Amino acid sequence: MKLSDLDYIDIKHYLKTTGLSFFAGSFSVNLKSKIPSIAKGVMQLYGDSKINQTDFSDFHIVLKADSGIRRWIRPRVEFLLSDRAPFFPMPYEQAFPLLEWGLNWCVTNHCHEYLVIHAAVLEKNGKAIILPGIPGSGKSTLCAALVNTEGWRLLSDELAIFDPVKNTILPNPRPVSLKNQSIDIIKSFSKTAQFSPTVRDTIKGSVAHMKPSYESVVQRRIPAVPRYIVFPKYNKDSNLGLVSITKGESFLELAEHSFNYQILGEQGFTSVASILDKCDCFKYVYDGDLSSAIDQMETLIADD
Amino acid sequence: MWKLNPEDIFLFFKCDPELVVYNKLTRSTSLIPPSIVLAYKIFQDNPSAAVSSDTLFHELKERQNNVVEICSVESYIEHLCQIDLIVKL
Repeated sequence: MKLSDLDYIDIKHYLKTTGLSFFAGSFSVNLKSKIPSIAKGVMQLYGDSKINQTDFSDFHIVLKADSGIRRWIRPRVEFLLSDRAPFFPMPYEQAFPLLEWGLNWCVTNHCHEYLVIHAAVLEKNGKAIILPGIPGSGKSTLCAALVNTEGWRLLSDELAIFDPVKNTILPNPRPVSLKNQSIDIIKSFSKTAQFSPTVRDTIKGSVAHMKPSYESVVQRRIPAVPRYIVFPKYNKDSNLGLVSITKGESFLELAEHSFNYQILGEQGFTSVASILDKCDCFKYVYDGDLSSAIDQMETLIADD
Repeated sequence: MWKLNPEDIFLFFKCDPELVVYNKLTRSTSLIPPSIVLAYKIFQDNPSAAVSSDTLFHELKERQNNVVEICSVESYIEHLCQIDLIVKL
């Protein structure tokens, strides 16, 4: 049973009472909230996700609005994981982005059986491309464009979750986070994609989330084998394309982009080594021309 | 004179011509560039012996067709010492 099999009234009811239990990517979440934008966001962007019909959830999350006088003066929202608040409250209208950021935080801080890298991951023809990148590198824009291109599956727009036992990437298909100019770029790139309302003045600027494709969500149990690592770098004045880089350089970059490399110690080292054993590595400088970028990624996959 | 530290305190990722080394004691990761990898191989070829900078210089000269300077050898040794792959006697 999917979340879209429930109507809005049911979703609101579960969120307010027992909690709504569903799969956010590969992890089960029990979510409680009385905030309308949470109910709307979950219904709009997680509609293809399965309802979790077991009693177990990986994460028990509450998004709670201020009570008392603060409800009326600059209201805020708080993110609670198992009744603890890991962050300061944020402005009330940022509730849905806070849920998404909080979910990322849950994975990066609790899932140390995996190596978690700050990277988008997409797959086509059984081959996964890992796109590590700092904010502003163009990673999420490129990722969103590829997700809207036939044949590409989203594994994650933010977290490459490497399973060191199976040597594969665990899919975590959740809404794609877009910021500032990327929102309009992707809206004009894809007329069929669905977006949350844009939330302005967050710590990351304006933020909107794009619904992951149905195919990506239903294949959430199918891991992917990493084949390429591409470090994107947006530069409006340059379109160098793909430039091969050494595995040594890529090793340090991947470790740098990992959230838990230091925590994992030797396991972190062997995990990065396992990824690189299978991958060719590139830097990719692009000027924002998404059609050209998609062609390059298609060629990369086809050349193999 | 310098000699090789026991290799069991390290993990290696061989990506010729570079080498990535993880030190289990300090939990640090280092990338060794090709020229220094060559110097490290000379220590590996003489695992129990002490190696002087002169020996290293002559071995490197031989392996690199004379393209090496003594000041480079000193910096190679310094780098290998810094990441504990070799130790001063």
